[in-house]
Parts: sequence; structure tokens; C-alpha cells
Amino acid sequence: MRLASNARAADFRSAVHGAIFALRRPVRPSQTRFDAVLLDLDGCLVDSNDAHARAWSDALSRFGRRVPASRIRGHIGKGGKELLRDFVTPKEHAVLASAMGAVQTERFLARFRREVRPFPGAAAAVRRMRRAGIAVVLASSAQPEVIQKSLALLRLDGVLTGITSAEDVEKAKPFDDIFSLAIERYGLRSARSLAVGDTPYDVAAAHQIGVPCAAMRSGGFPVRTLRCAEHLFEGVAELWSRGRELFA
Amino acid sequence: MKKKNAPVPVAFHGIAIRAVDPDAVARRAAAMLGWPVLRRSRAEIILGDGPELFLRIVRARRGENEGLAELHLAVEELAKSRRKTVPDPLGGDSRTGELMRGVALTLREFKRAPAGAWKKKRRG
Repeated sequence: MRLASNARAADFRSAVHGAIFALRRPVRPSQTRFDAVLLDLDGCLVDSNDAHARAWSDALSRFGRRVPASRIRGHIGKGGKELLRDFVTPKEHAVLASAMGAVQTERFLARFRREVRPFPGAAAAVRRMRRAGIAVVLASSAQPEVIQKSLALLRLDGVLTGITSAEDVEKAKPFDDIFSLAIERYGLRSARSLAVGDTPYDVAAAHQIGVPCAAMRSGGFPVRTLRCAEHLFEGVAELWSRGRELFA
Repeated sequence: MKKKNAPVPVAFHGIAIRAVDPDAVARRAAAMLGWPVLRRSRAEIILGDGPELFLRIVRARRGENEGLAELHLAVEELAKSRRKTVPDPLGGDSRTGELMRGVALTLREFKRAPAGAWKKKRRG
């Protein structure tokens, strides 16, 4: 018997419809120069999407569900609870999603040292953005422990303007909550903010609140899934080197 | 209004019934629900896919009545309440209290992977 969270399923459906609508109607590129960046972590600053997929596969197998990492890979970038909707039944989701998420975080952290590497030049580009006076807020669906460990690896502790994580919002990507919270919490102007992500879920979340998105190919998503982004770069290092004119 | 520090109910996810002939009850339940046997011993038979939804049929001891024995309620924020919880093989931290004579209510917050015996069995 379900006592809660039917509303969440309806919310999810409406967000998916919203995302599809947003994908069909991309925000038009303008001459605006951005003074703030809403930056994703996994697939942009650290090469971790494959490790996340393997950790999800591990976690699900510990609950007796066999799902290969290759099937999960295309869903990386969504918040954990949103991702699980595609792999477990609604009753499993209602009762076990939090536990599955906790096990995935544990498995990912166990793999972190062996499998996660920073993208060359990404952290340096972020430092240069900050030196140029651009606000950089990490807007990630990852768990706080994962963010903390990644920032230590990148040596970006204390460099960023702010951080929002999955724990700060009820609904992670592809919902817009993380980007909306980042804008509100750090007093940014959405008209002068650029979302930077590597997945179609980043693009959809940004477009839901009318923020343009620069998609990074470094996350390994096919270009066709990122075609609605206003800008496309190989990675954060190239965003700063080749896309410098986008910023104030 | 929610009582301060009270756990947030998510769903009833398990029920236990006491029966003199657990095998017969399990056969009827399996036929009606189509659930596989998750584990079986002399004392109990558990039907279901995993810890998220199960029916446990326990053998009634001499002098015990047949009927409802346990209700299992999945909750969130169980740790916020001050009363002690214990880790259990279903992958949760739980607290059990007697609801009425012979019927226990278990509140469980799922936090970990379940023990091997509680994992979903592959069908077919």
C-alpha cells in the first residue's frame, strides 16, 4: 500500500514533458555576455561517468537486480532517484530508492581512487574564470561526499563561489531545482548565467528555467543528444580557451 | 500535523501471518499473488521479490492462534526519534513494538543492501 509519493511520479512526468518541450524549443543564443557559470561536476571536471554507471550496476546487484553498466550509462547525469525509476518497479522505488542510492555512493567512493581522473585543464579553467570575476557555482546532482572528494582531487576547495548538491533539493536533474537553487542562493542573474553540463539532462534542466547551456562532449554523451544546447565544446578547458568571448 | 521527530511513513511493505500449516497457506498465497518463495525453513516461509514487499508465514506454536502476527512499515527519518533502532537483515534499521497482543509493528528505514537471503530471486 503506498502512502506517499504518487505526487512525485506526476511531478516527474510533467518534468519530462517540460524537458521534451524545452528540447524542442532551445533558448536562442544571444549576444549576452555571461558573468556566472552553473557548472556540473561529473563528466565536466572529472572523468567519472563510467565509474558512476559501474557503481550503480554494483549497487543494484547487491539488491539482486542485474543491470549492466552499459544500460545505465546513458542515464548518468540524472539524480539517483530519477535514474532508478528506469530500472526498478514503483514499489521498489518507493521503499528502496534511498538505500540503493546510499549503496551506490559507497560503491562509487570505493572506486574513486582507481577510476576517477580530473579532466586536463578543467580545474585550471575554473580558476581562471574566478580570477576573471566570473561567479562559478557547482550545480551537481552528486552527493555531498562525492563533491567533497572530487573538489579535493581537483584542488578547487575554496575556489568556487558556491556549491549545490542533490541533498539541497528534493528533485535533482533533469528537474531544474538545482540550477534554480544555485541562482537564488548565490544571488545570480539567470539572464547572465550559463549552465555548463555534459548530459541532455543538464540541457533540459537549464532550458526549463530559460538559462542557456554549454554542453561538454567530455562526458561521453553522443553529440545528437546534446544538440539542443546553445554551445558545444570538447570540455571545460576548451570552453575557457575557445569560448572566452562568451564571458563578460 | 506530524509529531516532532516522528518517522515519516512511506509504505506498508511486509506482513506476517501465523498459521498451523504454513505450506498450505504459502501454496494458496503463491497461487493468488504469483509471488516466488524468497526463503523457506521449517519455522517460516517468505513469499515476495525482496525486502520491499513480502508475505511471511510463520508456523503457529502450540497454544498460539492463527492470524496476523506482524506488520512492517517502511519509514523515513527513523533515526531522528530518540528510541533505539537495530540493524536487520533486510537492509534497514528497525524498531519493533507490540501493537496488540500477538501482533507486532516494525518500523524500518532502509539504508543498506539486504542480506543474501533477502535478495530478489531471478525468475525463470
